[in-house]
Amino acid sequence: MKMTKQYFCILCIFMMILPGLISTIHSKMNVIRTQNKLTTVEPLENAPPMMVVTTIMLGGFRGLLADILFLRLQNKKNSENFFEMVQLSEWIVNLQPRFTGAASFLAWNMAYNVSVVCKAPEDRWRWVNHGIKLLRDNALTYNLSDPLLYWELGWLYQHKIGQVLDDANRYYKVALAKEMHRIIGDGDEYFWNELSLAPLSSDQFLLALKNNRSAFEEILFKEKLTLDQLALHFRRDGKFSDSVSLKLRELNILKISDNYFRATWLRDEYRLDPALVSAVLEKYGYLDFRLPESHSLFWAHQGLKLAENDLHIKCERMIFQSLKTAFNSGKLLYFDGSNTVNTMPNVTLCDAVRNAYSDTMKRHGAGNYILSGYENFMIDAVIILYTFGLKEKAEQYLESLRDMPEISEKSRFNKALSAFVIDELSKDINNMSLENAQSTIQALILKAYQSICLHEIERANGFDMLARKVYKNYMSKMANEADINRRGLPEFQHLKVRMLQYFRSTIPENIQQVLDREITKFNQ
Amino acid sequence: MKSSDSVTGKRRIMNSLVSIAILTVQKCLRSHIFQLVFIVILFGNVFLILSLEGDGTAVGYFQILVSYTFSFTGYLLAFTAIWLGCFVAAGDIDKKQIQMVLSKPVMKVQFLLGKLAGVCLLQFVLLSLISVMIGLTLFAKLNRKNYPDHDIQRLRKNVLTASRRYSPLANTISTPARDELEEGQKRLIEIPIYTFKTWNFNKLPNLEKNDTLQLRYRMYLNSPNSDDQRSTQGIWWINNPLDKMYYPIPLVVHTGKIQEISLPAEAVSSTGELKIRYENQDQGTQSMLIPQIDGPFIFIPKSSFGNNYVRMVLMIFFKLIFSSIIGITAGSLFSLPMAIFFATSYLIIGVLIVFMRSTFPEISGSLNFLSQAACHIRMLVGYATIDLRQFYVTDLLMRGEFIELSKISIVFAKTIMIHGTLIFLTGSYFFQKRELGA
Repeated sequence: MKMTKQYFCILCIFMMILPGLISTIHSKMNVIRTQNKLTTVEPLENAPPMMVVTTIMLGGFRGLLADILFLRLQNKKNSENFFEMVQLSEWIVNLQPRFTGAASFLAWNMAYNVSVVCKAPEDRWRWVNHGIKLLRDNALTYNLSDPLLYWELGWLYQHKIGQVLDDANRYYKVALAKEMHRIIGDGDEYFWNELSLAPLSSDQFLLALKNNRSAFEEILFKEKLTLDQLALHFRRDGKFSDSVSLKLRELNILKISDNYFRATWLRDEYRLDPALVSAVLEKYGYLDFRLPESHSLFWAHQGLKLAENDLHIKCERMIFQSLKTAFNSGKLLYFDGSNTVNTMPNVTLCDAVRNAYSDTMKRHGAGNYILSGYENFMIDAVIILYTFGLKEKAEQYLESLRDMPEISEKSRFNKALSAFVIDELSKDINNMSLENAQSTIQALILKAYQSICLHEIERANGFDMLARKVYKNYMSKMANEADINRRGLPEFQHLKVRMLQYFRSTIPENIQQVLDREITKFNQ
Repeated sequence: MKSSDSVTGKRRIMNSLVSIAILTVQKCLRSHIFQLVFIVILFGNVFLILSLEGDGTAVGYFQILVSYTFSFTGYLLAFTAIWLGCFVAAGDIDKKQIQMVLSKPVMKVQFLLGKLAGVCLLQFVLLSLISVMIGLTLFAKLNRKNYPDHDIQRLRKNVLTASRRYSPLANTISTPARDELEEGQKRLIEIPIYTFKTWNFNKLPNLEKNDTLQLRYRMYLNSPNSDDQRSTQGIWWINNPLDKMYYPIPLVVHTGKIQEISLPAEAVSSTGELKIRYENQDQGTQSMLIPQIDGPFIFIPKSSFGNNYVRMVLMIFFKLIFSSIIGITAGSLFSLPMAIFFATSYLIIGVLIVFMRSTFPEISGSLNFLSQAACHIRMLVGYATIDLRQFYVTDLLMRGEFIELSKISIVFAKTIMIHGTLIFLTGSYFFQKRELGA
């Protein structure tokens, strides 16, 4: 018995020493593995303890277990037991963290196949979100160098949320806008540069507070909060509580604290590193991250850095398509309730879109789809720039169209700018997309308000009538209520009110007074 | 005097049974493998409860937790029951401890029955403890998760209520819907475009005015096996028994997905009858198919969740009794390793034989000799074995479907009363014949 106890003690000591020994050997083994290229994949990094344990314990059987889980997942999907799918998908990705194809399939399955069988838009959004989270929070954690995952993630934003193919697409857009609005606020432009300069960790944050560190810690003590709890409260409310906010302002550290907590929030929950976002904005121009195309562009841009061959083209395509969408409707005017999101063109992006197309054509040749896409963009750009009052720029774009050697039907562009725009508009009027219809109507309403400011009431009425005609024409194409919900325009009066608000914010006070005076005549 | 002897004899038998059962429980508790499995069950459940997240809804979380914890517990306890059954029976025989027992006025059958009672008693206590633990933890976790109110309402309405299922009367197919079709093993009802199909239900209970009943169904385009499903338009017409008129509920639903709509209590007549009809208004002018297994069914709240929960636990307990019978019988006939091999093989064959049904469904003249032989073997083994999944009713609990006493009784009669008793008696017979002195 005594011997057994001695053996037991020795065993315990040995068991305590063993992990330390293994850890040393394991690190060395990983270095040898990488240096001598013994395996095709890099050792896992950033993996949680549970995953490391299962990875090591199960060894080669992980694949087998993942297969069984995959079969169960398919089985559950067929029998509509969706409640297990998120869990099973997570387990599969954790068991086979390097198998990015499986992660992409599982995310697509949830975002596309499962979401569409749900009736309520909030249920659909939950499944789309599960797909996004699986790629962003699980698969990407272990495969930061896999461009396919970036592209797949961008695709969910661009296609599933951004397009009008899903009946609940508006709900998705509003839900995304609401989520991002809580973090980045409702300003016309958010200062991503400031966020990118925010401290990266809690230690850096406390160091950055310098002399105010102890005062800050005292605030935490008085509020009975830790730094993590304060971060949780901040994320729950989207801001500091009034009392904390007041104390931070008194210490003059409100801005730095606010930036730190927002930047951490973006990094932790959305993987949006403000420094990377800033770099994207610097390259392409300002993008509103409450809109899906900004996200798709961001992820495609990250993928582009790593992609090769076909995937490189796909990422570039996603970039110019997202930019084009942002140009057409990248300025968020307002969102409301669960189904109303109203945007207008972000005309400042036109050069960025043009450059993106040109760069792609230079690198990969002007394939048919890129050239026709470019041509369509240029025509849209001329119309939008013209209708939004940027005639010089529109003229410049039309000139470029005329000079393009690849375009065969040149006679179409050999007209005066106004004649070209009117011709294209009348052609398009019967075949307009939601974005085009919306931007055209908004541009015409803006023209009407500009005319009012110039005391040209009759001209304003003309623009107003034309806008109504385009609106009526577009809405007459709606087949039923579901179609209206999917791709219909907001009420005309609503559009007018929002454009008036926007227009007022862009003109000086004396012109605003003229507008207020004259608009009554216009309304009569 | 004679009757007093008989009472004393019965008491003696009971006393010996109880003594053997108590000794068995003590022996089981001393088994290291049992202790290990018990710890695995406890820690496994704690791990599952802590790590499972569900699909983000209260219903999803509840369903995944109930499903995983009870599947895990049920199968591990069944394994424990087999192990303990073999261990207490074969162990006593191998170590000759049985001779001490049989030297007393105890019959071999009594010995086996006492062992069975001991193992079952221990399993019952364990299962009850774990079920209470899971139930309490489940509700505690649900409260801590702070799900939105509408989510909790959905959970209460769809899961935390035990609703009884009512099927439509047979032979109530009305024209102009076409006849039923056959597709594989499934009976389908086809509703061509712009036609309707009527279903009658009877013997529905009397409901209060504010009560609602749920209509559950699933329809398909083309075929139930086709992935090509989409949204479709249609109208459910509900008969008002007062004026005999049908009132419409127009719907747009996704085919291939289970649908549920609430109907008012007034739709049920005073005699407990309900008439509904579906009119196909599909925008793609396609026929709708409804497999009979997919309804339509009427669900009416019948009992509490607690009642249903107890019934589900009871079914798991039946599984453990059956596993114990197999274990004890095998243990009484073979040495410990052989007994475990035999008992587990028997149960695994019982599960696997179900999969042979799709390959060899029925004997027909078109089958060749080998296939016919395989079919016969499949049927024979099917009669001799039991599929443990018969005891699995957790999915009914998760869907908020009332676990009928009739279902429990049928499973009990079929598995324990018939199969279990037969196996036990056969084992006892051979055990009587077995020479234990060697």
